[in-house]
Amino acid sequence: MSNSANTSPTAIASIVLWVIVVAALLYGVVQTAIDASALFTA
Amino acid sequence: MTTILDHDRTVAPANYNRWLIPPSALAVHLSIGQVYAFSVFRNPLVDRFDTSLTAVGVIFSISIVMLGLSAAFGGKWVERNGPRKAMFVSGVFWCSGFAVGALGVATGQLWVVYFGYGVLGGLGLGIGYISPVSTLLKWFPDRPGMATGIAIMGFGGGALIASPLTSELLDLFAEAPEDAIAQTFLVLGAFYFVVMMLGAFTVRVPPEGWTPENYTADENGQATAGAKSVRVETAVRRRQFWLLWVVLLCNVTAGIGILEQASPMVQEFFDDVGPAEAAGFVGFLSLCNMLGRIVWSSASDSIGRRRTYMGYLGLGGLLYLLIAVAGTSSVVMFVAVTGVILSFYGGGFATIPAYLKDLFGTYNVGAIHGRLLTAWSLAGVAGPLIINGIADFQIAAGREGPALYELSLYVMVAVMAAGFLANMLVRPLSEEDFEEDPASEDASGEPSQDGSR
Repeated sequence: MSNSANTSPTAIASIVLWVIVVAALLYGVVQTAIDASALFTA
Repeated sequence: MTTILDHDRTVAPANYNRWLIPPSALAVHLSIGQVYAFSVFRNPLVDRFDTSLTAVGVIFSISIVMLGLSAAFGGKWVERNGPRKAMFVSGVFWCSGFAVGALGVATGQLWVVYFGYGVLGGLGLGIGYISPVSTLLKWFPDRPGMATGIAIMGFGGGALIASPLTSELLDLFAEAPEDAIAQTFLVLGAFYFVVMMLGAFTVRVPPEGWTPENYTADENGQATAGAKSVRVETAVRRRQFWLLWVVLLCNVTAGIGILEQASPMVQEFFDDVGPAEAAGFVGFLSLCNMLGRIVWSSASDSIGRRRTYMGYLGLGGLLYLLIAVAGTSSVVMFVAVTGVILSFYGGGFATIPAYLKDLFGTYNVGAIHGRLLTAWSLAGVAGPLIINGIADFQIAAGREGPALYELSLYVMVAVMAAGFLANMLVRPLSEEDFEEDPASEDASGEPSQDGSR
């Protein structure tokens, strides 16, 4: 991304939002995978 | 005079990177997806209000009914006013639902929780669910399945996030979970409000006439992005809409057939599966549900929407038959097959907006999608009724173990067959049904000042 449209405050906020949603999804997937592992290890 | 929420204020500048758009959709769907983790509050609410599971279950039911109604009736409003205003309104309703719900819990008034989480929250659910769909389809006309898959994957992911988060918050705020509900509601409401507002204020719509690089009109003669579309009033009078309504109804009903009874079913099928393993099984199905939304919906861009639904419903029906006939033969087979069925359930939700876009064009897809979601509301009632009703019948007949569910599984095979048939009957609409998209109107129906819309 080299032009000003993609370095605007909105674009930067969108990048921050990407980090938030990916982190949240990873949290959810990892926690659920830990619960799901009981099916195979319990 | 336009406000910051208006459609005209969300037009992206030239050369805006379209990959900056999906997180705004995910922010909304991950937030409203919490509704499918509401069951974590179920027992604490029963204890808090000293009432029955049924009385507490009404909270969730109200929210899902309101989801269907607000999506159906709010779709045109969403399309006219644009994604930012829709996401903002969704956030206000969804999060005020938590605040009012907290008030109801704190004051011991269950009806206030019904109104808060159920009515207000449900309004936010429906508006939020459809709000980013048409925007994503406009940005990704070359990959509509992937685009809607990303957003609607968020709805599945929202439950995966909210379930452990809610448990941790309930543990954090009080010794007994029933004393921590109000605080947990408030924290969740505040958190989701911040996230949804970030989504609302970062969303953009493509500039007039924008297309991705190297994108050409659909070679099958289907409606091209932003060119011509079918009005909502026309769409709901066409056989194709009702065939897809049946398709969604059948796919969702069948998926709920597994979801609703996953834990007791696996324990009845296999003697050595206990509550801990069953809980793990439910978690595994949730992961499959979420992954199916992005994987199968993205694949539909290559496979084609009709063929993808042939898979969901045709292969899904065969897998249901396999469970019914040989489900007890192997835990691994049972888990694998039900996982695939649940991935088809999620994929069915995520692929349907792209299917609607293929048939009806992009401009009104959000509104048409909203009307179609009434099938989800009906399936949400019909699916559990069928499963629970048959299980109760079997119990009354003295049956136990897998026999409690086998008839339900055969019923679901028939449901899948009906959906398969409906899908096979779908044909493109007549060109006469399409109208030029109103390319230069603002939300009031007047031409915009700078012609940017």
